[in-house]
Amino acid sequence: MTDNHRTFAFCLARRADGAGTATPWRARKGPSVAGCTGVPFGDYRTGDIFNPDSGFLC
Amino acid sequence: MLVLDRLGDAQVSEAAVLIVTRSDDVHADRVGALIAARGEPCFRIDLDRFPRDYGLTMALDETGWSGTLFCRASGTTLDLSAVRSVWMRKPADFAFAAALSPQEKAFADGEANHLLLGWLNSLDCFFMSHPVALRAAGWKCEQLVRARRMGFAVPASMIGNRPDEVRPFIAKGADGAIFKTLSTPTLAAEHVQTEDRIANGLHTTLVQVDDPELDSIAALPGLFQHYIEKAHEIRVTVVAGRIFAARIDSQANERTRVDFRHYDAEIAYTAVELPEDLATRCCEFVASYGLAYGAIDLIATPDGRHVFLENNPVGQFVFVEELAPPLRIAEAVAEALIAGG
Repeated sequence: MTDNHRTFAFCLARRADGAGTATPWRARKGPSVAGCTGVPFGDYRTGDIFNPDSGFLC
Repeated sequence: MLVLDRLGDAQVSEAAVLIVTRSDDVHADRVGALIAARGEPCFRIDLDRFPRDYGLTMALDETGWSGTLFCRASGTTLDLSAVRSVWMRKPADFAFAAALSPQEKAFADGEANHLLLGWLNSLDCFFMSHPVALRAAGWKCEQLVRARRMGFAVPASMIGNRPDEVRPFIAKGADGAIFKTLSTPTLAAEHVQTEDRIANGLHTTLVQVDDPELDSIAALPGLFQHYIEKAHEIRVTVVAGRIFAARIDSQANERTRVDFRHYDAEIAYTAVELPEDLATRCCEFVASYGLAYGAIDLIATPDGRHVFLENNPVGQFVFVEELAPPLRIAEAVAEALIAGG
């Protein structure tokens, strides 16, 4: 990890990481979601880093 | 699964639903199971296993490309000339049997992509949604123009890389402005090796005029929008003209007030009916691209307005139907694919 970010988006991301307010996309799995603890979500947000709404750019 | 039956020398097959996705797509798992449960043939291409785990033969005849695509893992075969509908889900990096040099890999990626999309574009069947429509529908800048033209309220927006212009724009916002990415909230993390990864993503973020790092916008133009006060948010999923709307009480938790996509925060999702004119506008917006599916994010303001944020042409929906169970979106997707439109 470097602090030498040159784009505003990465500056904001670093700040969110530092403040502990970021939710890494890869953390978006597991059952404890929005008041529905125990619901078997499995990996529907596809686990590791992945844009949940991404699609084909073909 | 599609089975090729032999009647004499002729191969007879029932037209199949084709799902183009990746192996970790649980949306495809769910919809594929629903299609199978109805006894309908369904074939899935997992791009992260293609072409390595598939056997392909296709030949041009008077009707188009015919031949077979055999999946070694499942032992099933798709008759290329018998595709009823195609569900374009998620992209993935292709897989090749051999370790290829960087140049060979780049060439192979291009060839596989050209083959796949070339064949798909030659099909005359129902798509959810067609690659050309998906390509046209994915640009946030264009979506805002179209949404406003079609009667939606949209946030005051600017894109730029001049701090001296960005600051006055932010200052004009009563509650500041948000910064959001145009291409991907993952900050392209999935495109670099782990050791080169310096950030995992960025949610929509509230920024103020005196942000100490705002000058860094000079390196890359970014999208800013005046912050819209929210009563709640609405995720509107349109499936072949059917509407599924979920109210998201994002203001009930500090972490989801600016961006609801902190899925570990406990907020309520509730199925709701949209006002008829709003529902119609959402359907018309999706249809205006030729899309058969869209997931639209709206803000509901305290004074009762609805503000368009964006449309996700291949947006996720399982989290919506899990959290607002009356919304049976997967069933609607399966039904549309089986019906072929």
